[in-house]
Amino acid sequence: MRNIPLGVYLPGDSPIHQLPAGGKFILLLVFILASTILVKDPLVAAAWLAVVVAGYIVARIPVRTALGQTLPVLPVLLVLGAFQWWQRGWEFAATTVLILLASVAAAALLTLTTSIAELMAAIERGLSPFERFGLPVETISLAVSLTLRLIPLQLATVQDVLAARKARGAGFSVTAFGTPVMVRSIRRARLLAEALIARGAAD
Amino acid sequence: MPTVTFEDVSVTFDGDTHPTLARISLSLTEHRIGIIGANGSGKSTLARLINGLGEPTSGRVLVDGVDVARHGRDIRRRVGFVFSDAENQIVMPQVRDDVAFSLRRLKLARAERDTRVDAALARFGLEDLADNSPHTLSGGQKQLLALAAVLVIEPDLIIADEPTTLLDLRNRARIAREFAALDQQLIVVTHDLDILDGFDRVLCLDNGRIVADGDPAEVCAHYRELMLT
Repeated sequence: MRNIPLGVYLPGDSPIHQLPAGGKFILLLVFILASTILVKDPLVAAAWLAVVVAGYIVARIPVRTALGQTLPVLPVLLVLGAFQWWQRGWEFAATTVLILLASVAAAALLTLTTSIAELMAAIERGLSPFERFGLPVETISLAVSLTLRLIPLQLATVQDVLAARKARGAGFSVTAFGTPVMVRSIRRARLLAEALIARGAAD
Repeated sequence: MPTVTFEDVSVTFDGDTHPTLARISLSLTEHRIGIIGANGSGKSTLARLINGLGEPTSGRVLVDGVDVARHGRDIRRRVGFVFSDAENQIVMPQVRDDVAFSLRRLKLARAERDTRVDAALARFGLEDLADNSPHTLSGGQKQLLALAAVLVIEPDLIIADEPTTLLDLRNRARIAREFAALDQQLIVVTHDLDILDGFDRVLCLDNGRIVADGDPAEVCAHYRELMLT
């Protein structure tokens, strides 16, 4: 549970740490959009991934942390890649997997080198001109924070349900897995909503 | 100390035939107050009414004469709430940010906000964990974080709903020490009778009614008798 994707911040003084949070966020968006739209070749996709790896080196992120932040998504990407290989051929599959991996790694690099407070302040500053048109800027910023907070909680819920199933000697069943995960998730959402009310988020 | 007043308060949840709380009238003015009772006796419902997390079906709950149901926003600035499972109370993905989150509504200058957050974290020995994700904390540290996030707004009254239920003995003792050191009025809902040492008043609920109220030792004895006979 200590290597939750997008759940870790490593304070530091590298050039990447010192970039403004808003700038890093925009760079991430540009990186993801550009790589998705422009890259059609697996070698070029590998080069984009290499750029992100270079970012990790510059930011002096330990290898174990870097792998912990990015490898958990690899099984999903490999399943997706296998499907794309079957549908569109190996070149398209490799390109897709490499670009998605580069995007996830880039997003993790952002959260590894930026505190959530900085990121939220940057989002609020960036969106503030639209507040006069009724855009709920604070709510959007809160939603982003809650999403990051819920990733480890949701993973813990899934692990609890899998452990309970194993302890009872049950085989895999979509219903036996999905129902308790749904019920616990809804219950958690209700409790978090209460905590937000108690802590004045709705005031 | 604030005065919390219940005026003929009843709560009946949708679909229930019996009230969860039945015609409660009382005034709470003491420094430390405990609420005990069996599961489902109405303890948590009673406590939640004081912070506006629930509303009475009939009657009124007042804090210093202010109706909680009508002025929840003002009341929540004065009344902090600690939940039994801190995991559900922590809403931000980093320790420092979660404490700072409580101060959002006060619109403080950044320097003052940072000073208050640092002081709250230092008070509970969490300063070295400020940049960590809450999921990396132990159960006791999470409960201390929840308490820090409540105390940082400097409330007049703190309500804690079974705050030690999920903690081991060491962390229970730590929370009890922190409670004993609080200057604010404190209302604790609990099954942990040890935590009530030094409290000024204890209420015992049964089936939505107050069946004992007064000296902690006497009320706890009454509760034991009620539960074990």
